[in-house]
Amino acid sequence: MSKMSTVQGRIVTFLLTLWLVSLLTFVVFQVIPGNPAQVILGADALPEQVAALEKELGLDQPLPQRYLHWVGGVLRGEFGHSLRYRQPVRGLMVASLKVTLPVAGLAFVFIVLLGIPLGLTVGKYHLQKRGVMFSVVTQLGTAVPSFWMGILMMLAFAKLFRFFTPGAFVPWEEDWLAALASLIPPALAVALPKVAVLTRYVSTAYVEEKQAEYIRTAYGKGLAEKEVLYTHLLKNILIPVVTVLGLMTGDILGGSIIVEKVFALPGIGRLLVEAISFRDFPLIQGITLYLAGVVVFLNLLVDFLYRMFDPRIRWSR
Amino acid sequence: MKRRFSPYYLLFLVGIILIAAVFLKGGKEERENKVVVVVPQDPDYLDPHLAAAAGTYEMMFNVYEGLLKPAPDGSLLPALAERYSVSEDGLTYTFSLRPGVKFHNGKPVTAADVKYSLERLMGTATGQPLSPFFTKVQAVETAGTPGAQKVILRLKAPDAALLSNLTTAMIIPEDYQELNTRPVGTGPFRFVEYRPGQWVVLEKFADYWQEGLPLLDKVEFRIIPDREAALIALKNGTVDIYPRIEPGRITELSEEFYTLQEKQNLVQVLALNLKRAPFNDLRVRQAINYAIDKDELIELAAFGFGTKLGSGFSPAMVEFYETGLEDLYPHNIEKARQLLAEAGYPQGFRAVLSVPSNYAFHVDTAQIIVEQLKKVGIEAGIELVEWAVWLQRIYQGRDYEMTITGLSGKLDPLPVLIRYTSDYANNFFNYENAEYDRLNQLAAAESDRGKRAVLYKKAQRLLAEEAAAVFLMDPHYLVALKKTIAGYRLYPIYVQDMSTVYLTNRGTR
Amino acid sequence: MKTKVSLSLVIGAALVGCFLLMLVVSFFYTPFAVNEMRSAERFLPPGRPYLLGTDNFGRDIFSRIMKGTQTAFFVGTLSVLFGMALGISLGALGGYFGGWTDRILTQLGTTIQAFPGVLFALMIVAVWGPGTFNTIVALSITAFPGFMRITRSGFIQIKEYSFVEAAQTIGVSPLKIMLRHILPNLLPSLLVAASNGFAGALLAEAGLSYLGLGVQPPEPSWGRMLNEAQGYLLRAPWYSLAPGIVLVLAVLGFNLLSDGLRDLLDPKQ
Repeated sequence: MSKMSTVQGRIVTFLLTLWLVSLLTFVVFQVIPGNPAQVILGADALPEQVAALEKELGLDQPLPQRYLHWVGGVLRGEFGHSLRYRQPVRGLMVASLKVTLPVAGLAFVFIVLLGIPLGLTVGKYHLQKRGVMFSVVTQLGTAVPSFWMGILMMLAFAKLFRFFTPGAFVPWEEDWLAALASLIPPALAVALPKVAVLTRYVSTAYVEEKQAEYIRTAYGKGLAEKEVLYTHLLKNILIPVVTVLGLMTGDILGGSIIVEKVFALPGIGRLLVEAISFRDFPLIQGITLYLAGVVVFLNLLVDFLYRMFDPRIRWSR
Repeated sequence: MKRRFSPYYLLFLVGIILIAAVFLKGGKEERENKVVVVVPQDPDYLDPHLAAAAGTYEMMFNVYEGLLKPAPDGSLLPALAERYSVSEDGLTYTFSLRPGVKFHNGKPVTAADVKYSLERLMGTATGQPLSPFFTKVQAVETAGTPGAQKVILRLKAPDAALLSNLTTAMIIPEDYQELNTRPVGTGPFRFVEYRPGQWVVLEKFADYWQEGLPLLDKVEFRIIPDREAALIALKNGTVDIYPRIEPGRITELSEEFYTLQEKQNLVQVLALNLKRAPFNDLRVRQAINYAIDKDELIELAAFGFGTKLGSGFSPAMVEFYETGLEDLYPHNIEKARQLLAEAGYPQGFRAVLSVPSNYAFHVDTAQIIVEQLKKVGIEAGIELVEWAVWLQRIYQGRDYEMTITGLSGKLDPLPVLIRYTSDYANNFFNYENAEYDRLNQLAAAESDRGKRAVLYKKAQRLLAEEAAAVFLMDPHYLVALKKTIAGYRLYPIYVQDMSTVYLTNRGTR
Repeated sequence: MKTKVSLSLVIGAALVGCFLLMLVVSFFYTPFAVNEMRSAERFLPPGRPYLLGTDNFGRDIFSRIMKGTQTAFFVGTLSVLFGMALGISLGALGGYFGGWTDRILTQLGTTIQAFPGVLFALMIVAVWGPGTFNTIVALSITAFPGFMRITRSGFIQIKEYSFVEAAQTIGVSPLKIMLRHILPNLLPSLLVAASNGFAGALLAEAGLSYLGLGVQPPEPSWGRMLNEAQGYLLRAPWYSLAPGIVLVLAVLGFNLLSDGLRDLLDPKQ
């Protein structure tokens, strides 16, 4: 990446990546077996019925034409219509993103809210003996897959509160508060393993930074402990934290997709799995492009943030 | 991007956790006279003549009706036709329309509507039939006076399955163009709303021709593809009826629920590709039949909720069912080994068992069958295939060695048993037998039900003796309902009849 | 600092050792036949003779977990090896030659990493169907950009060193320079990455099998067991707990091992 250091270069890479992703997805799903018309109509449908639906869905058109048509639509901001639902892809995606994004967002908040204070506390009282224990504990946290964490939580909820079944997702329109409440357990399941990771990073960064020269200088200047902590230390710890959070977002999104299955949530993961099983090409294309776009965009964002926060640049000022 | 969300959630976070508890505990308002049924999939078309998916028929059964209608025991009831008569030669069917029947849009049903509907299905005007079932119908005529209208069907050749096929020939208003967005039929419920991926809502049709029906004001079909989510929804009260609940899960249901079960007229079958060695050898197929312990299979895979089969037909259709075949190949490992040895496989052989991965029930069945076959020396390896791939490669392409699937039953034996005739498009068994074909042809032209039954029973026996496949079981249709719901009726076909369902204690919970 | 290093390493190595032992033993002995079904003994809680209880088919869960070690290590080892081989060769190519080769390869890596891992595996499985081999392919492909990145940056760095330049001026072939002079210097960081990658592969395999896309039944896999167990979570909670705990311990072992290795081998310290 170092060669493409300019902003323009990064943006070109961003667009190039998205284009490659879309091309790859398109080609892959045209090659694999499976006919959407047949799947929609079921095993008892007659060949004539299948052929009629194929024609209606435009599946009889040549491949390159379909791809160009699709790309043209995307450039105009149109993702086409789902073959199966006959609805705009965008609307279907928005509906399921209303589940996935809040889960990922909540998880993100939990990670930050729990990870940073924990990391600072651990870092502050960093002793060798506790360090070993801590290392094992955080590694344990990292080792727990989010879907198993979800299963554990389901079990705990079912045993503790007999009437509360997590994962019973209520549509937002119906009762937004209940909807939000039902997303908390899955968000926690995604967050907890990552909290362990963040705690590790923050505590390590804390210990390293505390030994840094400028901190000692700050203490030398007679600044109060708290002031040093908040004005100097925290700022510099932010860099690795932002980096690690940025790298995590892909995982958080992926984790949310698996955890959706545990809690049976109607999120983007389920939509994608269904789209694949129905060979709903426009929907598959839309979702992959979106997910890849988010991940690439966040990487880009982290890169820029990194530049903004770079300690050397700040310190030389 | 994410960070912009955070203040929003931070604010609510504490509040949510507190209020959520209150909300979850809090009671609900007085109940509407409404029932929510969970269904696994979206409808394919709302237009009944275009729809082909069983999942659509299951819901829209409440909206549309044909001249005849199926009864819970599988017999045919007069619906839009008050009565009918068939000529001696079986070529002329005369239907007298029930007077005073109205469509949901308030218009009365006329003979012209019936003619229009049937001709639309037959493709009389377009040349492209929408249904394959009426190719033997030559003409549809209307007759009678406005008060007593008649519809006459003239056939080219006798068609024994015509009457049961007419139950799926839904009658729609003549020249009505918005069927796919605003369906109009004559059923007990009228269509209100369809939201993709969420629900189909129906409401009571006050002018329904059957006196006193329906009993509910509203029916909602909640679309939940995930079985786990469906079960959760039932447990926490979001839905009231869960059709096709997994048998392993009913022990989890509390006192608030009850279940009904019945044979569902489905043939779960282990198909063997008869064009491939070693399955082209009758002895090998018989050996596999002896090797498989269906009782153990029903216990392990279906928790006992299944009926053993012996041929490609379910006892749900008592009238046409040939009894005794299920014991033709009693479980016998010795005999299986002996037959394999005779066929030249004393050490058994290896084979691939392809299973559609989306059907957990078939995947479980496959695991059990692999173990059972191992005992006679047959090493079967499971290959999971996606449903889309299964349909294309295995069902249509017939490229497989062994596979497991469920073949759904119909109101008439014809579409069930025709699957094994040599010229049937999706005869993925590759079964070819001239005698079998002949029996089916005879039965299709025979209008006497008793004589048809004899022919179809012979056909079933032939399938079993030839071991055309391993006919495993009819897994029972299990439905879980809240105890406050009564009047639910089970059918031998895939329908949710809501017309007789009612709530026993309205207003209280 | 030194004591911390070795303790992580010791715990990690001990855990990994236990699993290796279980792996070896499972080839010769399991308490019960792995796939044998007993309709009368389904859903038995942990106890005797079924140490960790039985599942919905009356199969012994402990035996299946033992056998599952084979699956986990098979998939983990092969996907790390393939991912490493691919990553090292492509990284070396890009890092050594630079220019357009480098740009194209880097773009390839970015494109692949742009897919969330689950999505990528979903696509692979859609193309070739689920199964052990395809799981390995999917995991190798998602793993290689990481190894590629390490190798590439290492090559760029070391390429500038005088001993490499010296070798170049003598006319030693690029392949020889790569293999003899540059790669050995990268071994420590690659080893750490491999140990880490192994833990990642265990998690990814379990996740895929949990989604029903990875290892095929009746082959026991920890993730697949969790998938099958979830339907009986309330009836047989031990079925969901046992494979999960084993999975966590295995991942923990490899993570600690890689932690320990890093501290031990990192030239910076």
